[in-house]
Amino acid sequence: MKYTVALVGNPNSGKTTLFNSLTGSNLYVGNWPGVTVEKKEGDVKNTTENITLVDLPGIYSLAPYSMDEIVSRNYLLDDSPDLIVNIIDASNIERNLYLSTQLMELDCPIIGVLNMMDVVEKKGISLDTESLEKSFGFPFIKISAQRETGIDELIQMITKNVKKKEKRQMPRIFPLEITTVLQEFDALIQKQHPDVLSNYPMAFRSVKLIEKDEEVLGKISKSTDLLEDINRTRKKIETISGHDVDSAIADYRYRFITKSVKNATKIVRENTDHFQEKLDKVLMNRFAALPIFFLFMFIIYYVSITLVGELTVGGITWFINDILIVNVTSVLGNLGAEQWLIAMITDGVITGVGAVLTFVPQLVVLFIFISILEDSGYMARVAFMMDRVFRRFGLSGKSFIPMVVGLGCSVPGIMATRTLENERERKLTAVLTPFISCGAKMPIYVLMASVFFQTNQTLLVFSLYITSLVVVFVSGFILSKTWFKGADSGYLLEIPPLRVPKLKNTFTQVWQRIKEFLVRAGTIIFAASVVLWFLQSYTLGLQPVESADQSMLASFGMIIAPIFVPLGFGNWVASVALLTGIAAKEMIISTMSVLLSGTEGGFTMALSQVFTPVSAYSFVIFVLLASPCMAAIATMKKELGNWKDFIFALAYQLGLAYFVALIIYQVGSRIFG
Amino acid sequence: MFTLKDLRPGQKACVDSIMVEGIMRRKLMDMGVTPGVEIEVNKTAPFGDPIEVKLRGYALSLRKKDAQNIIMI
Repeated sequence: MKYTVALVGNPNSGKTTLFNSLTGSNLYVGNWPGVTVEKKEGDVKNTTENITLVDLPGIYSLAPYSMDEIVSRNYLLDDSPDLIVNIIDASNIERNLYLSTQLMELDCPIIGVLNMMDVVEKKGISLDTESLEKSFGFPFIKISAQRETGIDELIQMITKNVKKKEKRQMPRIFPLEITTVLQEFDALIQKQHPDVLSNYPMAFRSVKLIEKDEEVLGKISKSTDLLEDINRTRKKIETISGHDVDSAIADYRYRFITKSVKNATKIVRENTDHFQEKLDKVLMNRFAALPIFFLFMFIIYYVSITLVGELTVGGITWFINDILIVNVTSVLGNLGAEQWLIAMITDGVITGVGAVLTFVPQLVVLFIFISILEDSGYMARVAFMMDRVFRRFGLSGKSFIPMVVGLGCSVPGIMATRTLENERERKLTAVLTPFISCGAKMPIYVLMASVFFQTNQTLLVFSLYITSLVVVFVSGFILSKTWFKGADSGYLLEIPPLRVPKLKNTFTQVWQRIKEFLVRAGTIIFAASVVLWFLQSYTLGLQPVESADQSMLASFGMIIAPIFVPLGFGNWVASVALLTGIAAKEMIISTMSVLLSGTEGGFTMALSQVFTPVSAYSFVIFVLLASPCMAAIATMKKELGNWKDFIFALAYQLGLAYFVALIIYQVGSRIFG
Repeated sequence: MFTLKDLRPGQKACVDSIMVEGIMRRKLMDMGVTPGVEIEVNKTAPFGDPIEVKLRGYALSLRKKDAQNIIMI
């Protein structure tokens, strides 16, 4: 028998960490039919049963306001899992249990997992799980996902509970009078409107109908009879509670929670350690917060680009050119390989793949920094800091989070826009996130900087990031008043406590990103390097060329090259590189190294014949702003959801890139000659 | 009558009623801003808006525009 267990909890409750602990290394990302949102799924380890764990997006309630919430809720309602594992951040227990009171209405067995117990105990607070079980009607267990304590006990508990079929009696959350009203309403629905959502759990159906939940109302044919019944019940609740229905229901839930938590909490000792609060005061000081943020960003790019670059790039390039290629050539030569085969392997594969691999150490360091930013809780603080600024440009502070994620890769960045409630802001952020330079574009800047701007390398790369921020703001301002016009959804954001990131988490995340990069190097870039080498080594008549200018790739590149003449890089090498860059951004340097390999004086020499400093700058600006790679384009299409917005977004990104690069080249070449 | 916006960092008071409209109203309640709950203002953002408050043992940030529609007692 195969069981399904859903992992549900608030954002920031440690869900992903727990998911990884429970499933071990079996993790994979699955695309589910019908819903365009990725859920993670894995098998629970160390158990005698066959249990699949489904990781749902983190949510605060079952209200249908963001895509994340709708996805989680629809999954719980339609796929009815055998068990809900409700992860609760015990250091923020009241707010976390609010979701639990809603999950209780779903008629599905629940286990309450009190996470971050180490933090709670450090604060000198003890929680009584039996008392909580008595109040809530389902069992609780204490764990710390980060320290991996209580995991084995939790697995045993899941194994035991997943097989139980009998229903538990759920406790009464609302006062008796309200419960009576709800029961009467439910009886009325069953009698008068038996076909209304008959497959939904009773308690959930009644509450959602009375709350006039838009998703639920959208699923039924709204007969005037039913609406009248709903309104009559709402009136009753308002009379009893003295509040409107929405605040009454939320209020009752919280009262129930406050009472239950109070019964279960014991303060063992007063805690005096306030280090995190002090650190927060410094980082978020009204005057120092912004300078500190920019200092962090500068340090990140200085360390990963300049420091690590100086240490590694030279060595790796030397190894590839002077050791690998020389030895491979001589070994293959001794084996009697044909000249063309040797050239294909050295000038094609090794040069193309090698050009990308050269930058792996720098990317590793960049990804480590981004992962630390994500885990430490600093990201929410930056959103808080920037909200006022972003609001002026038609976005909210929350838009900043997808953009910081986008510094690593645009794909997860664009997907992170799902946490934005407002459709207009979500789409706008999805269109703007690719303007934030992703990790795969970084090697291009570094390469160009090292050839054309030897002094001030960090400054040049940093100027690109500033440019992309300016473009985001200006575009946000323009688009929010034209294409993506509409009301703003407001801003409400939890500020999590600052946490020391866990090394293991950082490594997992960095490794996953680097692995993707390496897989691309071994597949797409490997294959493309061979094809490119072939296309540039032979003429249209399949004759070997004397110089690459006569190759069929050159003839093709020359057709599109005129488009880029006004931007200063109207040559076939740059044109072909930009085209292959659509597959993956790091292809741009692979392509250029393959195309320019064998030129006298080496790659650097060859590059300075193709570009001038001004046209090199115009080229990197174009690469920075033009539409992202295939994967990000596909993600953007998925998130925008329709062709109209998608085609507009592509046209906007390409048009803007062309326009900005044009200005830079035309103005720059007149100033610097 | 005063609102959440009128509180200075370090001051606290209890919520009387929530006059915010639309989706934001429901979201505030989901996040625990319900009548009777005690809220303390932690800090203001560098640009003067939004503000960060503490309630039910956690930190929440919201804009002054919404804070001025939360009536306190």
